[in-house]
Amino acid sequence: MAAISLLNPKAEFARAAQALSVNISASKGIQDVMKTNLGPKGTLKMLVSGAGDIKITKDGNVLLHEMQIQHPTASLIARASTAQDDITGDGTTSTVLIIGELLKQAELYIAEGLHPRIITEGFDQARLQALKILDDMKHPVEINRKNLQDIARTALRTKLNTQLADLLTDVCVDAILTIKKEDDKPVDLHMVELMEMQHKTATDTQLVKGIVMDHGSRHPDMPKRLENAYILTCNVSMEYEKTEVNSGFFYKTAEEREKFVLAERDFITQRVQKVIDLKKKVCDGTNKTFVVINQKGIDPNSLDMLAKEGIMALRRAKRRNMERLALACGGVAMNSFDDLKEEHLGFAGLVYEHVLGETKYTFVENCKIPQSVTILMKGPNKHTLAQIKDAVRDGLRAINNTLEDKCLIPGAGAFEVQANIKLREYSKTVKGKARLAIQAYADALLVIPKTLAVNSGYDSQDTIVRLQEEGELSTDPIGLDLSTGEPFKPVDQGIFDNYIVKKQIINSCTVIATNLLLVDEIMRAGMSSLKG
Amino acid sequence: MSVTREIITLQLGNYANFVGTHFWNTQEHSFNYDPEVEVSEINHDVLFREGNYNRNVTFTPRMLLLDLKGSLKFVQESGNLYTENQIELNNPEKNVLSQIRETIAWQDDNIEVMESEEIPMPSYQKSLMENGIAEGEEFNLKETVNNWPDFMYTRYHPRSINIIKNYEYSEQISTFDTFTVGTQLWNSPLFEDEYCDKIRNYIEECDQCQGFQTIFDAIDGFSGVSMKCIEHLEDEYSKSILAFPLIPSVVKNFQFSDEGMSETIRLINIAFSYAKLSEFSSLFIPLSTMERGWRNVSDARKFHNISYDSSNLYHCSSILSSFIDTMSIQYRLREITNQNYLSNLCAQLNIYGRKMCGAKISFPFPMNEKEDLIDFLDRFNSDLMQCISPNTTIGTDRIIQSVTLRGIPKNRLKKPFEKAKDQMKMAAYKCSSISEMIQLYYQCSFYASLSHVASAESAMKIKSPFPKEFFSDNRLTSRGFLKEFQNDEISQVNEVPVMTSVQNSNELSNTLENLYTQVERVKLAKIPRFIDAGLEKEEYKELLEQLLVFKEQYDDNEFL
Repeated sequence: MAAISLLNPKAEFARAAQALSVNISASKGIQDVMKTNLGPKGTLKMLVSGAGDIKITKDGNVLLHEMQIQHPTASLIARASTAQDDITGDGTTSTVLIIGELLKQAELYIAEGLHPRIITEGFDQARLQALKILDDMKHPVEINRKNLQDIARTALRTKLNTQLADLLTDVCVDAILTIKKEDDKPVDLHMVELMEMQHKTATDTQLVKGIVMDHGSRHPDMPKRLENAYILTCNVSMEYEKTEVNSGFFYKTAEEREKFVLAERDFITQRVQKVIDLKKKVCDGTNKTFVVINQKGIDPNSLDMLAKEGIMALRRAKRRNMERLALACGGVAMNSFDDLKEEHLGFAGLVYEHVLGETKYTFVENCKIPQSVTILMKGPNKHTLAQIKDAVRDGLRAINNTLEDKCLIPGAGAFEVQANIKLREYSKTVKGKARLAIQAYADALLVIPKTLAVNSGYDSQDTIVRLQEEGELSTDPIGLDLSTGEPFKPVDQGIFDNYIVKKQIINSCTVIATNLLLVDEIMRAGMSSLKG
Repeated sequence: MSVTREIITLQLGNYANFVGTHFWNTQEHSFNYDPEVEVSEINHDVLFREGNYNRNVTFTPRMLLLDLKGSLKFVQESGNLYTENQIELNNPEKNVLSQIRETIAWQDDNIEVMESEEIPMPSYQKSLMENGIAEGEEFNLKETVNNWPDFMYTRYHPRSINIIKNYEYSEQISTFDTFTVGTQLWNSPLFEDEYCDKIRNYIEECDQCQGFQTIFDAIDGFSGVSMKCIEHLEDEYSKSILAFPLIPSVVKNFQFSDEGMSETIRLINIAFSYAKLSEFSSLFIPLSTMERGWRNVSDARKFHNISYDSSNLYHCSSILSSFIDTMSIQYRLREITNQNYLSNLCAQLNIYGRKMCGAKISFPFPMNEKEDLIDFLDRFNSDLMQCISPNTTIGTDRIIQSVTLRGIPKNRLKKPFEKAKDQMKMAAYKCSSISEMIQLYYQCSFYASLSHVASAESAMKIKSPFPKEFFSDNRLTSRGFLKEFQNDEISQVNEVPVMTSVQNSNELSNTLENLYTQVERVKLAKIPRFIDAGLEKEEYKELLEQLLVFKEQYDDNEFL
């Protein structure tokens, strides 16, 4: 009897072998669900809710979020996978598969009487060794267009069909290259705005080297299209706020009251006038035009004043767009209109409005040196847009990881095959029972090429044997060509994975699997009524 | 043309959506489609926005609702107004996949469809969708409604609906438990990007936004989300924020906890909400149909002329919604005076930082059918209104209040000069408007008090899906007044006059003191889930401190 039941007779518990089997079966279960997703030939899952809402995904992380996972062990694995996504943006399905497989392999040895502690120690040795192997396989890359395309394409092709993936590859790479600075500073992905437009088809998705906003001017007489525009970005209220009673004013006659109201209103009018003055100063006598983009409100009276001067004014811009606009068009986001000068203004070659149903979109384009861009995603319906958005995010992350790592790892299962071979060699140098655990670890890694093979319709044993044979002979990494089922050199085909993704997988999977293996008692006891 | 003074409504939580659904239904029933009739004194543009969809004009609430996954039932997340090609579920001839095939960017044979069972529409919604509700058709909503989409009459803009995916709605148990869990959820992308962006979209449309009315559940995790949300509003927009913390009359236990534990968790959530509201809101009015909101929640408030089931959420929420409907008239009137602003209402009542107010309602306003207001006020001696704020009793002394009366036409104020007779002798006869007379009435009956009064002639429309069974006895006429002579005839009540009051007085100090003493007694260590969710001991202490400071605002003050 477990100690807990002395304290709480109602507690549920599972001990030793039983506890382990609970954990292992849960991880197998979640592995089964995710298995079919892996790789560019994996299945796409379409989730349809009871009301008819559709969600289409192949991303392990999205899927895990959609599924309500109740089992505590499964949700632990799901969290590891979410963490994987947070850190690297890819490899979520692989995480689940490898954790499951590590436990599965360990189970065989535990059934034969090997103590879990020895297995976990072996796993840890294997992890360190695997990291070394990973470092040896690093394929240093020059940051150029082609290399970035390779990595983005590999990431996107696992999420979307070839045609769309290739289109988005170019979009993502161009986006990053545009905003990348000359020095080696990491790119801030927030400076790539993702804007959705439910319109046309997915293949109309495009990169806009400027900013697209989901709102337009709110005055019928304002220009809808301006060229050579100065852009004033600001965070200054141009809205008349009614005085509250507490700070009210006292008046004797109705006329006097009117005067007071006007005086209050005048305060705002003066602000607007400052903008108009600046516009006149910089634009009069030239072909330049003027656009105001404000994070705060602009009321109808102010809009009217601005419209009369031919100024296009947008109110309530996104907070983040203030930063983006300054980067895209130059200039400074202003918090006050005192001392407004020309150098505070940004510049864009073209600003125009596009109306789609209820929503107006404003495009700020042809900027001189855009440091911030927008990926305009289009699709005929919500679920397509969501699918593209997920994919674009992953694509951008993959490129950014490459910029940071400055190296790649050959894809198509090449790392796993290589690691398997090398770990087996390594295990021979290890004395004692830990050797078995290292072998188990080596076998577990093969789940990736195996699943890739199965998902593409090839025989898994057959494939693995051939990959291993080829891998032992060749000095180059060998992966699985999914279109032929034959071993090939992924480097030649430009199929790469991110270094950090693999590194993270090795680390987190080993840790989670180790933790689960060391669990020898599971208990569930609610805190009963503790009147506080 | 004058500018609209827009109000944006936020509903957070399941019960908040019950109340909100009733509220919007009532609004829509008061629309007037007859061009001959005089323009309504209430400006519906304050709460509703005009849009277009497929070249049709739409008129939808400026509202954002928030609920847990699974509570929408048969309604799609994009709402039921802007429907893109509807998918037929579980259709044996044409599966879902083939219906949307061409839009999926993947090889056909590699798509796995995971279809859920279609959730059937209740019969009320079905007839609403198909051919409208026929006169006299009954649906027994009281028994059949188990969640708010069941009696949704108004249709919402797709932007309105927001669903929390991390927690699932269940009828037996409440999974979204603590304030802290709620505040953490606010940092997820759903809120950071989508929700805040939707608020921005709404406010971008407004020419002269007055502020926000926020209706939220104060007992569970939604309290945390709501407080973060109100903080965000205050930070970003600096407009008036009127908040209605709700305490449902029927509560579910939280997961892994028994009744006592659940009660304690609710108590802490409420305390957190009050403390934070005292910091970020402009004014807040706790609402509940129960007499006590924390600990020993059992006695339901009784209302004189209506019969309602206090254990039915559909019933209780409609009373609270009637309150919000009537009290909000002040800032929804078409006529724009200095008075008719939300900011004004908040400033009137919130003095010396006393941001919490009590709510009272008189529903229906118990005036006889042929009586004039002047006579009624003269004869009526008992308590006119019923309190609907939990753990609150407000007497008659030293009160600042804002009263709203709807449904009494001008000609019912008093008799014209020639027929006045005895009325002439009353002091109130010189009053020329309803607000003036009510003001005088309260001047005489409440000692050292200040009343602001607003009134509207139109009564509150009672139309299905509002629970008509409230008025199923024979005491009311179809216009909602009490019958002069009792008869057995049961008339169909079509509208009722309602009076509400929002009151601020020293007595609210007791409410807060009660809350404070209760929370102080709780040992946080015994409720590990708060700490698990990331609550720091210091933060908790700070909360108690804040609550105490807030309470002190209400203690005797030389100015009052």
